[in-house]
Parts: sequence; structure tokens; C-alpha cells
Amino acid sequence: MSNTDFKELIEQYLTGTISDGNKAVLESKLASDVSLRAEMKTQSDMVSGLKEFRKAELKTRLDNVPLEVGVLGTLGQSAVVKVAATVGTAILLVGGMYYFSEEAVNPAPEIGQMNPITSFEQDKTAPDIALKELPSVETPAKPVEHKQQFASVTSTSSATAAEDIADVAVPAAEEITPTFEKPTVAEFETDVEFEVEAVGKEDALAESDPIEINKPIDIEVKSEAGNSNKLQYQFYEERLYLYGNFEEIPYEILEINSKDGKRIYLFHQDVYYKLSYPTKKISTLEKVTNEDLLSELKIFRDNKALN
Amino acid sequence: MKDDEILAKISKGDETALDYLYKKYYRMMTKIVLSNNGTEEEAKDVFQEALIVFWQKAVSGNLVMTSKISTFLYSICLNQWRKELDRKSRLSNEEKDGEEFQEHDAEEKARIIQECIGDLGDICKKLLTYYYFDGMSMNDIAEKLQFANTDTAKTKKYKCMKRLDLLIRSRYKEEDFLD
Repeated sequence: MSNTDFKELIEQYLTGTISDGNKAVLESKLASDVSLRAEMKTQSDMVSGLKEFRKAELKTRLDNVPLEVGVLGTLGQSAVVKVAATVGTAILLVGGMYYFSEEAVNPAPEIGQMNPITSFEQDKTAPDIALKELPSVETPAKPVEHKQQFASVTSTSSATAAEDIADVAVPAAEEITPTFEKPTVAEFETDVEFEVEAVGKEDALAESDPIEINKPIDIEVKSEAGNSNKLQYQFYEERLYLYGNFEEIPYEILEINSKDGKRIYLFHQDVYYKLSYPTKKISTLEKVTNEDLLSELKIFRDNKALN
Repeated sequence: MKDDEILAKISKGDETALDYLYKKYYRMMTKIVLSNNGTEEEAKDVFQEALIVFWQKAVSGNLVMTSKISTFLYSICLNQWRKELDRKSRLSNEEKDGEEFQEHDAEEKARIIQECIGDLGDICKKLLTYYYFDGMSMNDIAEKLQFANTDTAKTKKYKCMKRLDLLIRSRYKEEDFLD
């Protein structure tokens, strides 16, 4: 067997593809051939080094993957998520205004068409940016008596948070923008009342009671696997913690600011739950059974899917 | 994404599948370590190691899945953490022997090798690591790196190894001389 053949055997040895027979031949040759042993050592060091290098490269890649669940600090640092949260919040605000307008462009879609937005942490700057970017406010002929705001956060443990948010947000922005004019910041600061211009087909939602603007409270959602099938929650330091099997199945948080204060609902596996806010104690999620409220919540979710 | 879609991505060397699995199972897998006397850092290491083992097996085509990916990852994490706990307990029971000089020498050489690999061109780095670590075939590498054919990949690999060998020899000798 020539030296080239032995080098080929070394290669096979290092990649784990050598046959038992050839392995014995190689080992016997290595025992007596110093230079081949040195060659083997060199090749082996290089291959080990390359493996280490690649492993470190993959670990660095994983270290840079933004984590969503249970690592809120990391989440907050993610530029992608921040951008997505900002865009998402802006669109949801626009969506809220749009929803409460007297007429809307599109009818409510089926729930099945809804593209769930996955969990994100609301950027503290998001509401400001959203206001600056909000389209058109006109002084109404018949002033609307209420201001409105609808903010919602939808959350799952899915890995595609940023992508999903972007998917929902961008087309909605393109659709709605042409129907409004840009306001000045001063107009918002002085609480000018407004109405949205009618642009299309009448929507059943127009009958809903207008809702008053309250400044939204930052809510961060953190799901934790519970020990049982029980679904529980608590508010602690302005954060909402969910306990239960929220890892696999998407859930949504609906935050509604009304004249009577803030109302928070959770939608999970086709069931709506009411959350008493603020409740520092760990409490069991309470199902919503009131038919009127259920249909109102369904409209909220349907409308959100439009945006 | 379903398991078979993930495996299909990995078989093409698509590393975004790795990101997806990392995000999806981070909490579930790190819990194994966290609830068994491990720190967050140890938990992360164990999960990353497990995921990389899974990647290596799947990308090289040496994996026949008989269970869900999550079950597979879970068992690797569990084994890795058991091994680590064994290693820790052995370490605390053993006294260090007098091989520190040799260890230092080997570490120094390993450091130089890492530097030299870092100084290779991107194509060489990818080709050699895909081949030796990921266990990809020359055919797959040729396709991924857009070489004309498998023979081009083989020739390129030979040249890259030669270049790495020369780099290491020149630097290792320099360091010897400086010492």
C-alpha cells in the first residue's frame, strides 16, 4: 500500500468512514511508521480544530437568536422585536380608530382567516410613534363625544413572532393610510375630537358604544408551564403572568379601555376569559359566559384580523 | 413548522431551522437542567450542545427519526446533563495530577489552530467545516457552495487543507521560537 493510500485511510479514519479491516491495517502501519504517525497527528489536530470552530460558530448563532418565552430581558433587547412591536402597535391603534368609526372598509372576516400575532413586548416608545404617524383627523361637523383607543397584544410561544407581526401589520398600513390625513402632534395634545371619514361599506360594528381613551398600561406577557391543566394568571408589577399550557396553543390578550376603566380578556382555545385587573393574587381564569359580551369580543378579534 | 418540514430544511443545511428549534424548545429543554440543580448558563449550554448534536446527525443524513424532534432533544439534554453532573462529581473527588504543562501546550496549539482557521477564506472555512463537522457529502457541499461539480469541491477541499496545514506550521514554529 502506498503513502497516498495510507493518507486516504487517515482521511477515512478521521471522518469515521473507515472499514474495520482498513482500520487494523492503518493502526499496524502507524505503530511502525513515525512520519505517518506525525501526519496522522497533524490531520487529526486540524479536523478537531475545524469541528471546534464550527461548533463555536453554531453556538454564536444560537446565542443571537432572540428568545420570546420567559426571557423578557432578551426580548426587549431585540431590535427586530422592537421594530415589530412599534409597527404592530401603530397598526393596532389605527385599527382601533378604524373599528370605532361609523363606517369601515371591509366586513369582518371569519376567525379561521385570522393570522395570529405572536407575543411581543410593547416598546415604551411605541404609543408616541404611533400617534405621530396616525393618519387624518378632521374637525367633525357633529363632534364625536368620545375618544377611543384599542390596544391589544396577541401572544403565542411560536417562534415566528417578528415575522407574524410584520405579516399582519404592513399590508394593513398600506390599506388604511390613504383614507386619512396626518394630524399634528399639537392636535393630539389638545385632545381634538375627530371622526373618520366614511370610505366604504357599512359595518355592523358601527353600532358599538364608543370607547374612551385611557393611557394604556404596559403589559408584558409571560407564560409559564403549570403543573396541571389549570389556567391561572396574576398581575405583578404591571406584568401579566400566565400559568398553564400556553406553550403550544396560541392565545390572545384583548386590552380594552372603556369609560368604566380598563378591561382585559384572554382568548385561548376558542374560549374567552375575563381577567380582573389588577389582581396580584394568582387567580384561576374565569370563562366569559355573557352572550352579549362574547359577541362583542368576537367582533373585536375579527376587526383586529382586518388590521 | 412540522417535524418533517424542519428535517427537510436541515437536510439542505438551512440553519434557520436550528434557530426555530432553539426558540421553540428553549424553555422546555432548559427546564431539565434548571430543575436539577443547574444554572441558567449551564442549562443554555446543555441545550445548545444537544441541538448541535441533533443538527450534526440530521444534516449528515445519519438520523432515522423514530420519535418527535422534541422527544429526541429532550433525551439528549437529559443525557448531557447527567454526564455533566457525573463529571462535576468526579472532578470534586479527584486531585489534579501533574500534567499541567502538557495541557498548556495542547491548549496553545489548539488556540493557534483556531486562529489559522479564522484566517482562511470564507469558502475554505465553510467547505472544511461542512465536511468535517456537519458531515455533508461533497455533492451537497458542491451544491450549497455553488461549485461546478463534486470534483471541484474535492480539489478545493484538498487545497484548503493544504493551506491550513501551512498556516499552522508557520505559526506554530514562530510561537515555539518566541517561547
